[in-house]
Amino acid sequence: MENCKLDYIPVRLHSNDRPPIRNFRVGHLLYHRASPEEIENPYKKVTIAELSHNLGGDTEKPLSSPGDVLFSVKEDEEAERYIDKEVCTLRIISLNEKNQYEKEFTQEKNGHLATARIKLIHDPVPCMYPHCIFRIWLNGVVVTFGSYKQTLKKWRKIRTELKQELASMIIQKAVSQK
Amino acid sequence: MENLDDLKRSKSILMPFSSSDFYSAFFQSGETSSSSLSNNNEISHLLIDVKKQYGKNLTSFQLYHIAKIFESFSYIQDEIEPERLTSFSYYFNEDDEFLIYRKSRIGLTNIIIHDEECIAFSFIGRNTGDRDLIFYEEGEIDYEKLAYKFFAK
Repeated sequence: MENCKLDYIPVRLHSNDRPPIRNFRVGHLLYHRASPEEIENPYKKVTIAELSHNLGGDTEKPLSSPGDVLFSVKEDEEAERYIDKEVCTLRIISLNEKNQYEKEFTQEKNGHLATARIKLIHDPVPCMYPHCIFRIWLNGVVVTFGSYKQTLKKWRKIRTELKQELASMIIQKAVSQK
Repeated sequence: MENLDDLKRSKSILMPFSSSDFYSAFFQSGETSSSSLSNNNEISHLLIDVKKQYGKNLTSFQLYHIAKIFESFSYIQDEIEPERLTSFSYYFNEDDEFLIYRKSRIGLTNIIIHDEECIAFSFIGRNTGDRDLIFYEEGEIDYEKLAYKFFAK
């Protein structure tokens, strides 16, 4: 992985070839950057493609603090921080037997079956080791911001179930496998 | 499956006073907002406001169901606490979903009207695990029951 080139990012957040975290733990914190509108009603604004979070990790030995998620780690963005966003703290309260958060949703329409999968993945980037994403697949293919309209947007029930899942995380401030 | 009569009888939704004079007095006090309903004229005004704000973006499917839902709010207005009836908002999001929503101490309730195919009722409570999601296909919607569910929590 290349080195972080943004000098305003604290060194403690640089990836520096640290390995990805494969398993999560109950009690881990996640920090989500959200607009006030999204916090008021997540159905207004929540997007369901590669949703970024920061892993706070253990409270005793944190990987990041809440405010770190407001840093911009995109080299093509002028601003160093997202000043119009707020931080929403989520606690992982349950995981599956592999210490993962992973769920599936299905919908049948006109004889076709679609399956969406959502999974929490630790996804370090050069300037933000704690970076995580809720990745979504539709029928085995990753859903991106670019492909969303041609793929997941057409499956309205699955889309609403995913939004319900993500909205519940924000409202209840918890990530639950159950 | 919830029974409509059970929903109506729910103590959490019924007016503390059975007299319609209490309800009429509430609206005469000037405490109405653009999202409260007291008669069919206000339903029309609400629909006009929705069309003005989101006009060409709404499909005929959405316009039809928005009108039916607002009508059902007006229909049940004398049965529920006035404060609940004035407590909702609406929004059209980037996924072309029209939301009718309200927040309470207990949680967040949304009616999601998609551009076509279906309508969903969503409730997300403050406590973990407390949530509900119901889909309604066209032709299967009991608007009165949906209205009671919307204002119940």
